[in-house]
Amino acid sequence: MKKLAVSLVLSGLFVSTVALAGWTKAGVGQATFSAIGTGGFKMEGKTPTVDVTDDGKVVTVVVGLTELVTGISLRDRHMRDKYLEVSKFPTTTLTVAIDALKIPAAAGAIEGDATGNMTLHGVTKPQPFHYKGVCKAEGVCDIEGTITLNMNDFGVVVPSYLGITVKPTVTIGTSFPVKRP
Amino acid sequence: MNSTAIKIIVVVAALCGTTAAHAFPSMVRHGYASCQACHVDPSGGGQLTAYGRAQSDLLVGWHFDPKVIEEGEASPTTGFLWGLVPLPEQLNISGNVRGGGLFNTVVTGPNAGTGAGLRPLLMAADVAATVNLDWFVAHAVVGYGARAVGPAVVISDKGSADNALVSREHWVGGRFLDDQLTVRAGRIPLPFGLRNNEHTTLVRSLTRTDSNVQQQHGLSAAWNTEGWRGEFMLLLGNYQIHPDAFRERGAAAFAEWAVSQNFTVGASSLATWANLDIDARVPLLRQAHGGFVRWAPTPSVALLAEVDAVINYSSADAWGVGGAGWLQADWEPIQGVHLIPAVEAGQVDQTSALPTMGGWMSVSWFALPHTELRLDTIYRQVSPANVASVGSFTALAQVHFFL
Repeated sequence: MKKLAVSLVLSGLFVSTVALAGWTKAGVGQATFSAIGTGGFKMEGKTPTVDVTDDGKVVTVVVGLTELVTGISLRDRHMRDKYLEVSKFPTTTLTVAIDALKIPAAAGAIEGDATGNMTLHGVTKPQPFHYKGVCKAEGVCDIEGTITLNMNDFGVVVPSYLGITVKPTVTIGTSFPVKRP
Repeated sequence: MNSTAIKIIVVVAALCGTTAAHAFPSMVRHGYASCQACHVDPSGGGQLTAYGRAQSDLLVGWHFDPKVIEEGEASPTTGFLWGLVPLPEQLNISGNVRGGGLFNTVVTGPNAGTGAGLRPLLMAADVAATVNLDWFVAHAVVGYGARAVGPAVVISDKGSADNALVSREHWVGGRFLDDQLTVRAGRIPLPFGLRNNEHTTLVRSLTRTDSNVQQQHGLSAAWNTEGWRGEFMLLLGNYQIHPDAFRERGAAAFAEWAVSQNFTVGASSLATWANLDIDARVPLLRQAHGGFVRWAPTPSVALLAEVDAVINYSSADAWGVGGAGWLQADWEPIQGVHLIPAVEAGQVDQTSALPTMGGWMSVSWFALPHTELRLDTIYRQVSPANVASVGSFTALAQVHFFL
């Protein structure tokens, strides 16, 4: 089912995580996406392939789309082949300037909004996102991020299958731990 | 044997043979907390949409080669009459045929060894049609009812509840707000509790909310949105029964919250008044209030539970308070094969010594497109006051074609 297309968006979420310059992932993260359609239809999906690089000025989050799953194999295939066109665009990326992120110097809460450049389906656009989290004394921060994006903005065909059509606006969420340098 | 106990057993056996409903609240295992994508009825059950037909192949049907599921598209045979008759997008026609054999015997009590024995059974032979024109939708289900279809009878010989032309549902309405709101009028299943296949359960029979024959005429508004669904129905009475004094007026409603994609919690409420209750033959205020849960802890297991309080008031008997409960596990070890144990209890008749208790073990195999083979085995123990408890065993084997 095509709705999976939404999953793309998810990748953007990871971005929020990365926002921490020089930091490293301290465990397994998870990214999810949620899309709704006509008549109360709801679809959720996830992908486990996330990579983060940090050059000291910009954090880049790369999400692999080839392992995107939604719980229904045909829907996964439609999502990858028909909507996200994973063979041509196997990843989606989000780049964020580290200066754009509010990171506490010590333990404490993190929360803020920022804008990065998101590349999805071969289209790059500025994309706002929200991030929050808690940094513990030992230097590990649990981060959550959310992005709401419109598939039309990235040239992704809105999934529609046998009368059920997904709304173009998709919510992406991610959560993961990171450790201070 | 006490005549009341005998009647109870006969009724139970008869009910077991009238299965026509087909709904799958256990689809929560696939993340489908809402039913509207797959069913014409916004609250689930009955005729499938084109999307639902595809899912019946992709998610419900058994495949000899599992790669068909992993690599294939929905089979063209999911269409009407296995895809042999193409229909315009605006028209949805389907058939629903259930037939098989029923065996019933009294296992314990003074008359152990008696019972209905073995007999063939045609449980449903219906045709459903839905017309969708933009926001407008009209839906009707008509067919032949062989046995105990009294509340759904349209035409029968001398008012008999057997061998009748039946219409279980017929309504017109509209879908609005991106199909989130469905407003309709007609004969509609009562919005109450779990809408599962086992419509003869105590939670359905004691609340009179089975989706086989106990639909009523009325006005309804159903809401399906992200995380929430519900329906409110103003009951005007079942105009397929006579005289008017039998007709129940009132309201029924349910609301369900999807805590997650695989866990939902719901509540139901019903209150009706009849000048002459069709069973008790006295003026009756009937209420039922309860809750239900659907939870899929793993993709292969779905747990369904419902508990309802039943409160009746009549000028003759004053207040009667009882209730019913149902707990079911649906284990699908491989796609298309279900093992379904369940337990139930219920009591409204205050003269009973103990609640009626029941245990179910069912096996269902969606062996071919549009085809289900199913075996239900049911043990129920009825405990009338001042006489020995009576236990009965029922086995129902059936073939179900949903064309």
